[in-house]
Amino acid sequence: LQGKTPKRPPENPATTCRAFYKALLLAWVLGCLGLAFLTAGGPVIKFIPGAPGAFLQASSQKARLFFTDHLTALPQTKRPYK
Amino acid sequence: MSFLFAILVVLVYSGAVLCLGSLIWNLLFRPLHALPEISPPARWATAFMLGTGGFSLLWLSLGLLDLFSPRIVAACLAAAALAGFMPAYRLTRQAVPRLYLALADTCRMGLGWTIFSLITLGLLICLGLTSLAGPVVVGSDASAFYMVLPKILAETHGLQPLTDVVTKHSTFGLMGELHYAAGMALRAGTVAKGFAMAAAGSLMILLLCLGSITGLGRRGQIIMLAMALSSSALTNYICDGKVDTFPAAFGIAAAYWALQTGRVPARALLLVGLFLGWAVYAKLSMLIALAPSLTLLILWRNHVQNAHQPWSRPYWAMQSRVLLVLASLGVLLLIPLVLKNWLLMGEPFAPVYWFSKSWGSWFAVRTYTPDEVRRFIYSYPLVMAYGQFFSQGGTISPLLVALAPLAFLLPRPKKWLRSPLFQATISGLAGLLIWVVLFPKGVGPRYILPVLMLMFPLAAKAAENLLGREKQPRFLSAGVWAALFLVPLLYLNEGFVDYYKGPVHFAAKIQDPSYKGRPHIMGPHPVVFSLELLNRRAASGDRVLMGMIYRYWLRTDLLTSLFHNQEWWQFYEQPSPQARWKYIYGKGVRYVMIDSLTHGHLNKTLGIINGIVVWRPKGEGTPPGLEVKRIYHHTRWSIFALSPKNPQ
Repeated sequence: LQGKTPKRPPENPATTCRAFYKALLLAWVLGCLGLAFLTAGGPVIKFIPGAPGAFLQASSQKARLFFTDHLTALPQTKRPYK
Repeated sequence: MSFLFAILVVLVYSGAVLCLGSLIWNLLFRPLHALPEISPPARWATAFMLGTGGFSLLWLSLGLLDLFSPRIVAACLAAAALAGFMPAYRLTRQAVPRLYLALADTCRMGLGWTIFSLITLGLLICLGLTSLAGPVVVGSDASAFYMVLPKILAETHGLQPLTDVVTKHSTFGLMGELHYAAGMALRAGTVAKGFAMAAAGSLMILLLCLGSITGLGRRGQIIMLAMALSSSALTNYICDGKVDTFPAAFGIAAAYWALQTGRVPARALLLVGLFLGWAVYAKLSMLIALAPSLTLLILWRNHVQNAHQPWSRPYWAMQSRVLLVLASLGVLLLIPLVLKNWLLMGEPFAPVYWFSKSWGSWFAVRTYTPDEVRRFIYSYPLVMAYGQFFSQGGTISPLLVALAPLAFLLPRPKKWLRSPLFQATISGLAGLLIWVVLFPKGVGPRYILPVLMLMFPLAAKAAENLLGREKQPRFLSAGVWAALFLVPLLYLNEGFVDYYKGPVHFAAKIQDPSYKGRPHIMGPHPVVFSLELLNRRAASGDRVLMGMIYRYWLRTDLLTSLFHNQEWWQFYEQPSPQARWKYIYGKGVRYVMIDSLTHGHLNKTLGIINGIVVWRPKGEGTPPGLEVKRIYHHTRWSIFALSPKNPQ
């Protein structure tokens, strides 16, 4: 009513930080989920056609190799026979 | 009908275990009974674990005295059931409605939570059915040792060490094995391994109660249950006949009662000591990680409760009493292990210290290169959730790794040191740290599962807090929901997919009691097929030279007559392949089974090339008068039959 332009509230650094942290946390959660997909989702990945499927299969193989040693790289010694 | 009968045996057996545990609870822990701090399901699960520990000691005594006959086992169960029926009934009557109410609660929490709860419940049912109806898995250590010892004990009525490559396993604390043996003695067959599901059920109830102490709501508890069910380090061993579920269940029971320190009378410390002792008895690795972790937790909680007189003389006296009780109970419960190993193997301190040098010092199965050790140490904690290293045997839930950092968004407690959530988490972390420092090669979560589970409440609480309070835009909540739904489902798909085929196995066995998991599900497995062939062909008194680890399907008389360590040494000391053939034939061996992948050296030792025993002037080939014929071959597996050469 006074015709004054309302003042813009000062930016709360805590809120900005919180949003940044939340973005980081979201990236972490999705990263963990992605890694779970790459290491455990082999049977699903092989049904994905085309270039995305090939890319995912290669990534899955790399992720699994990273978490594998020379003993498990041997042919099916510990897994049930298929 | 026999399958249904076997299920009935397992159910009745579990009931008798509960009765014995309820009796012990009534006799020793009655002062804890009416306390509101202890929920009825926790009392119920505690009683079950007490019965599990109590019966294992009884079975061990009977096994060592060669009295493990079906009649005596049945009589012991009947006596326990009669004596403990009323206390067990009272505990059950209080606990079951509470569990039902908790289940009903989850259906009133909105569509998302209801679907999530149903997925979790579905996983639980699948696990239960697989543990009852699933086959013993070829490739699992269960078919090498953990189901073999019970089979022999149930049929011979006496405990005896296994032979050759799995001899050293006989020095372990036989907790789950003896329960399986009792089930097998009562004709439950492989269904006896379903008892692991009962132990896992107790674990899950106590884990949820532990979560409740740390401040988890119903939603957090469901998240924690989903974490447990997506930890293949737990679920694998509920189904396949291995026994890692038992130390984990005792460990979580000990952790629950440790977290009760200060809330309930000091008598609860006896429960911590008992459960911790049994956890260590069942898996020695618990001594390294879980014992320090829980000791820290108890001392910490005692310290907080007595903050008004810190570091005074009564304070130290009280803390010393705690340590004394824990140590005494631990030592007391390890005495049966020492006695058993002394009587069976002449090695009282095995498998930690061996007096005889011929045994070697420790298990040399984890032969990682320095580069591999560096890789998995640097990749902690991811390696625990995603690792597929040799002997790792399953992972902890990726949900733990994904959700734990959300704890930064939790409201800060007024007093950190007094927060049970903080105490449990730090104790778990301390245990993990001790383990990684002392055993950097022990990358399997199964070695320290209860310690890792102490960190579940933090991750679950963090997720529960976020999902309940995040304001728009709820991107992070969406990410968390995606993880909660997808991770358990992904782990259905992983390599252990066979374990979740429980409902299919179950239905097939109901229709056809002779169904053995093949050919419909597992395919005609060459190992099972070849061992059944041996069972048919071998006459009474024949022996088998076993160049293969997986042996559960072999006839019991053939299992008990396998080569002993001494005989193996003498076999290798023979000067030539020809002499070795002569030696084994003289020892009564009529069949030789070789897995070329794990025992390929036997081909060379016996002068076998491409499945044929070759004759060469330097002593290779079979000795005169002996004929060796390959009677079975499939990829890496071969069976040779020895017989006197036809004079013609």
